[in-house]
Amino acid sequence: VRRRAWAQASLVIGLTALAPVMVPTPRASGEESGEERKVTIAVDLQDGFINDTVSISASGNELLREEGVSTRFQIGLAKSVKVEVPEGRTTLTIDVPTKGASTTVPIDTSQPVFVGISLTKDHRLDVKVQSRPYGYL
Amino acid sequence: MTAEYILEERPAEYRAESIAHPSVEPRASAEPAGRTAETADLGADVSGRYQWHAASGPRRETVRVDVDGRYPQMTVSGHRASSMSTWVDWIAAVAPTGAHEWSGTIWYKDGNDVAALPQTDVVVTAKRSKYPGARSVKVEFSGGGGPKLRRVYDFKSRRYHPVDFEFDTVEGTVATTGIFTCAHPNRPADMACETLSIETVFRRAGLGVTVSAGSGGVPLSLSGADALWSDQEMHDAMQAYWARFADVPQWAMWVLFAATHEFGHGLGGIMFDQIGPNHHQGTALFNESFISDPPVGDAAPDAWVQRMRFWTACHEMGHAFNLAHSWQKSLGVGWIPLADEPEARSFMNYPYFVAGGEAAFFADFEYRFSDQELLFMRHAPAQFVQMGNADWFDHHGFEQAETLPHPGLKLELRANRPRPEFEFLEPTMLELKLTNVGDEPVLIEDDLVSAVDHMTVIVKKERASARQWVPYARYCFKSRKVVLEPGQSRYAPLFAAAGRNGWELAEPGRYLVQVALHHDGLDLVSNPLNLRIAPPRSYDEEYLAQDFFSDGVGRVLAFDGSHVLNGANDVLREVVAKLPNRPVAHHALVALAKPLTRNAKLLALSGENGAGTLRSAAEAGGKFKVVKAKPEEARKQLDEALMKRDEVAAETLGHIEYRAYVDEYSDWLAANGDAAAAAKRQSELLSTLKARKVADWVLKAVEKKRDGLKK
Repeated sequence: VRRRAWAQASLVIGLTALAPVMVPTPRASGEESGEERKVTIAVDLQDGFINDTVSISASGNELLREEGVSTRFQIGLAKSVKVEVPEGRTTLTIDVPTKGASTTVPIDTSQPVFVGISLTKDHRLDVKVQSRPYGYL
Repeated sequence: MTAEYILEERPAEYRAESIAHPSVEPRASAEPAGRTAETADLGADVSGRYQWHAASGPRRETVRVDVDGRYPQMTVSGHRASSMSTWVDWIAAVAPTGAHEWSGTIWYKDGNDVAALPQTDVVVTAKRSKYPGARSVKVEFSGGGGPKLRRVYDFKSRRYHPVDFEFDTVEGTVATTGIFTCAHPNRPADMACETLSIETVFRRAGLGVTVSAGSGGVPLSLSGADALWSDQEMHDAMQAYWARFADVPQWAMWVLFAATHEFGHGLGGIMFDQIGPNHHQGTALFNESFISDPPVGDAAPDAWVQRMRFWTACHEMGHAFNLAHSWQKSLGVGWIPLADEPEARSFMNYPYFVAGGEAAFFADFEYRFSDQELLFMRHAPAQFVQMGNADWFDHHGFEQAETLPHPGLKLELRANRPRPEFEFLEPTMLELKLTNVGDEPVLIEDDLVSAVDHMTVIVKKERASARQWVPYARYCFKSRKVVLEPGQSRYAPLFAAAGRNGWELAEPGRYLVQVALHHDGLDLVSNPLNLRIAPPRSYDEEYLAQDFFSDGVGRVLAFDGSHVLNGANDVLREVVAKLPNRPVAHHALVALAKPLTRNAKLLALSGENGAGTLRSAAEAGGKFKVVKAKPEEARKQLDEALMKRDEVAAETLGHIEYRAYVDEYSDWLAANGDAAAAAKRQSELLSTLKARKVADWVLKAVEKKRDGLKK
């Protein structure tokens, strides 16, 4: 069908279940041993991805790499994934190498936080942060 | 209901509709379709749809005037069909130039006959009347080097398009199809308080809304054991429960109210219909999702939920009109270049995406679509907006066209075989037969049936979009008129398997083929021919197919050979070698043999002539060289192609082509001094055609030719 092809993307990163979920590191002694605590956050790859590769990193560690990401335009969402990030203040780096786009976003997981990142038509990553999860329509 | 409730002139039973109700049946019965479609709502006395028909022939035009009433876009648009298969859509921006007059410039044209509308300016003059039947508009087209054209269009409707909604509800779910606009305190200060229905929202958008009775209730069991709905499950439910479901474009949609999508709580609704060839016919919304989660501390949480559910229904239905989200407008390939509307207070925006969030959105929201969206729904070419529409002429395209039957001519499309089934790789040869079925002689062009310039051929594979066959070449002949007497017929072969758009009839499966001949301002439409292409029989066939269904092979077969397309010739030789007893071998042999029958001129170029080095033939050292005929090889191959397995050859090449090839072969033999062999080929042709019960007049003509060669 002739139909429009949509080409915008946003990435929504949110804490699951409205609040941080404390996830101990594999070693139970992690806190005592000085290892940082982590929380699991939801990452929604939203508008405008067209067979793209998305990488999310924190503190130099790649937390997630997804390939072949494509947006379903009528809800503005491509995919929901989850990543573990260090608790507290941290900076996420989002790369979309297939579009040559990259950006960083500071988040503070001590509060519910949901981050939306859009890939615009001119291949910029547009970041939104809010305290409620995004819904799709 | 309170005294605040509005305010529109409409029947009492309509005002009494409930805001939320578990079933839509009461609404349907309370709002007869005929009345709701045309009851006053726009408050317009000029805006609406007007039509003009030619006194005879298929020419027809629609004009949509959008200059007053609710949300006027100051736009006049039109659709002009100059034949069954040629049209132009146009849109003009206008401004008032008198009490009853608007003028402006045409800024958009689209269609396959844009040349039919060279004019660039319009002046619209309205004849007003309180009686709809007495209303009309006169449109004067001018500018653009075209002649001035004045045309009067009769009023047809106050709405730009008709549309039918069917609301169905999953058992245990409540459908919210109406709302009291002042139920929530966060609203525009000047918001008119009224009971607003989904129908009214779309009626105000300019659509003639009717609501079909729903199916009562959709069983939750259709969503599977998990009670969550997948897109596939909803599509299945749509087919089973939507009374109007059909895989065809139509101004109708199905809306399902359900509880939860398998995506989870975060999906409030979706236009799920991306399955099959006809999209965006079905939408759904999910009550048990975030759209039922009012913000903590909201002043009127129940009203918030009702409003959000209502808003979501209109949003998803907007998608069914092919509307994108407000922030996506500039993306992809829009019907026109569109600007994003990230702050729009529109049904197509996400309330929580605007500055200030959802509270800011609803504080300024008037339950409407944006002007850009209204322009699209009202004036964009219908194929972009209509539910289920797809590529041009998709599915029953001819049936949708307003064709007029020709009083005396009948066009038949057929295959020369008991059942229209073709082997895999067998080029699909069809035949056209035009018969004068009237009582009077009819004057026609002598090449009416044979010249592809006169015809439109549509090929549609089952469950796929329709495609127009485009021949590799068109020929410019000077036509002459001939008389087709009552009962007489004219015939022509049709090689529609491949063309400039590629191989239209190649993959195994069922196809529908239909032809329209353009004659004397009319379109003569053939019967739709349903044919089938069988699956491959072997690995060899599948392997060969990768090379066979190429542009080169298509061209060699269409033109009966080539001295240049050597790759394609190699493929045909491989076909003959590997599949010697199959119908496709006959086609291949004809194409390989015919170029060998005579000397041919070939333009030979020396040196590189690629990108950046394009030169004239002379500059490139081009010379004509002669490729010598190979008569012995040609004779051997033509005998193999035409005479050896004559029954198969006649069937796969078609009677008309088969006879033409044998005639040509015989003539060539005679011209090369072997009249006896030529006469023998004609005798064999006669036997073959007799056995196939070809018409007597054909057999007599073959006999005559044979006898002539014997002399």
